Amino acid sequence: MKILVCIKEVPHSESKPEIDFDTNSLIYDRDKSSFIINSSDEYALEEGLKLKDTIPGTELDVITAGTQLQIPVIRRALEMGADKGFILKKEPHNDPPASALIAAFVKDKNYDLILTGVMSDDNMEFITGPSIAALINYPWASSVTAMSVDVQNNSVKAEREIDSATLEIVTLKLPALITVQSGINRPRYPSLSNKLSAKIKPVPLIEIGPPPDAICPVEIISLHFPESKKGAVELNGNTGEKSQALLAILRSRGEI
Amino acid sequence: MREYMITVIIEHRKGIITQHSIDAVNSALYLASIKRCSLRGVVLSDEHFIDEEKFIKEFNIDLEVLLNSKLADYSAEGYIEVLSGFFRNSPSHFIIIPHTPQGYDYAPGLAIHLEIPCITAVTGIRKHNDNAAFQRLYAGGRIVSEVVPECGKAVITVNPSPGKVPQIRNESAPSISVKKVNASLERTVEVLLKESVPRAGDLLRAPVVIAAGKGVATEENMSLLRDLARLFPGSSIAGSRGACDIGLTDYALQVGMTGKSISPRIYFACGISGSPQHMAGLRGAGTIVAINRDPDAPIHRMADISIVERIEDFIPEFIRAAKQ
Repeated sequence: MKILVCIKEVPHSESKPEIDFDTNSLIYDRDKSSFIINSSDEYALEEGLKLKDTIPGTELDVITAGTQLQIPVIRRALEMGADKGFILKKEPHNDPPASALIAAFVKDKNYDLILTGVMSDDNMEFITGPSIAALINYPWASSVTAMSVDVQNNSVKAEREIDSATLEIVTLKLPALITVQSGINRPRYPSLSNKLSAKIKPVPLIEIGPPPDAICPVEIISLHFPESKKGAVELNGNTGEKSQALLAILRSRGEI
Repeated sequence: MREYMITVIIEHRKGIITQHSIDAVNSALYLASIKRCSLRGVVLSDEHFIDEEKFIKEFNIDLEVLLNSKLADYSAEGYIEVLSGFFRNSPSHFIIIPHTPQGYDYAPGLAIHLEIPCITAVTGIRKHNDNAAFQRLYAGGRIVSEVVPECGKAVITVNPSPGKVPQIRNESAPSISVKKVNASLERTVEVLLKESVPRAGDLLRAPVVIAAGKGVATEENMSLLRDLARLFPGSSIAGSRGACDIGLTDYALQVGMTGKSISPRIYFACGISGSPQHMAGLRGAGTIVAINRDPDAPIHRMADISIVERIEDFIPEFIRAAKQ
């Protein structure tokens, strides 16, 4: 079985972006911010590694779009147990989207299963996984909270959360693409032997030509910080004073 | 055939329209008022859509019902096949879809098939010159962006709007059309729906909810939240997805888009950043009290009462004060 896991490097959730108002883009100071594998992508990687552990002969590759700056997240995935890692060359903020590059890359590679996270923590678009699948004509299921592969029937069964009271269980023929929700498993720590072998693996930077049919661009006309809710109060003072202020509000409403 | 600028896809469970769909129709009505154009709803179903009279009465917009026995349950493959065929024959500039686990499953694929852009998780729509600008959030809600598709066409998934949407009515009398469509579903072997165990009855009814985010971080801090909860009779503990993922609370107590939607009088958001996925579960909440040490956390801008403090400092101090 051949598995591809698509990962993205994202700033740590506590990193604070700045707005470049000239180009309407977000900037993270790479010296002050830490960068990690996008959380749901890491769960997707673990889900793939679990399949590699249980299905003999499984190969698992990881891929991302970016530049040399993204080598550390690919290296981390190799340390966790991925066989090969690739970076598809993409300049930040520029078209084409990562989904178009990955779709072009996988077209002739015969992956049986493509895994990725349900959304990226920075852009929060929920868009890359289903877009790749639609471009390469794989069936897909997104926001998956449990999955199993049936090798004999060449299918994957995936559980999705539809709402708080309903689960949908969908069975798809392979090849297929699954986007994974966070919390589905416990991502492993790299073993020492994997760490050593990952060190010497090459991480090729691959150039993909522009996709044949570019769709109409979406222009960012403004970026700003959110405004506070109308009538909101911020409690000031030391911890004790803030406690008293909150207590006064709740007491005046008869809540406490 | 009448030409429509805007189409809203109605999500339903066995004929019952979901709340997210009603919100999406309202967003579509608002967009129609900006663009001064016509609007229709589209429903995919396996039988006669039982809610249509009610639908027409409530929203007063045209409705097209697309029927096939294979559309009994949702599948991305079925929806893409039927909708891409439908829109090729009867185009629409904007296609509005509720941003739900169903909506964001098929919206990007539909956009690829129709060769138009996809803008997801839209939280607001604004008039921009003669066009519409769509608001969405980045970086866990720290940044708001406004985007415009240059060709004036897009598939849009909409989050429930936090504010009230002006009710705009179509002038002409609405029409209903019901037609059978083809759906082959070659690669979706089976779709089953299963009820997940609802164990959070208390959470749904609780007048006061104490919710943990990833920022609560430790079991010690979690027990402080439980102490806080004891001050409020009938209160419940809850958690964000992040808190559930690191084992602070059970998934049954998760509030947000993939968890529960709740409407307590008071919601204590402790160590919660305030991502739009979390806030989607809080539309009906009364007073939101945010306790987060990060002054830049988006939750402070969405809260009614904002307290920049560490959990481990503030909650014990507050409990001490309340007990005096």
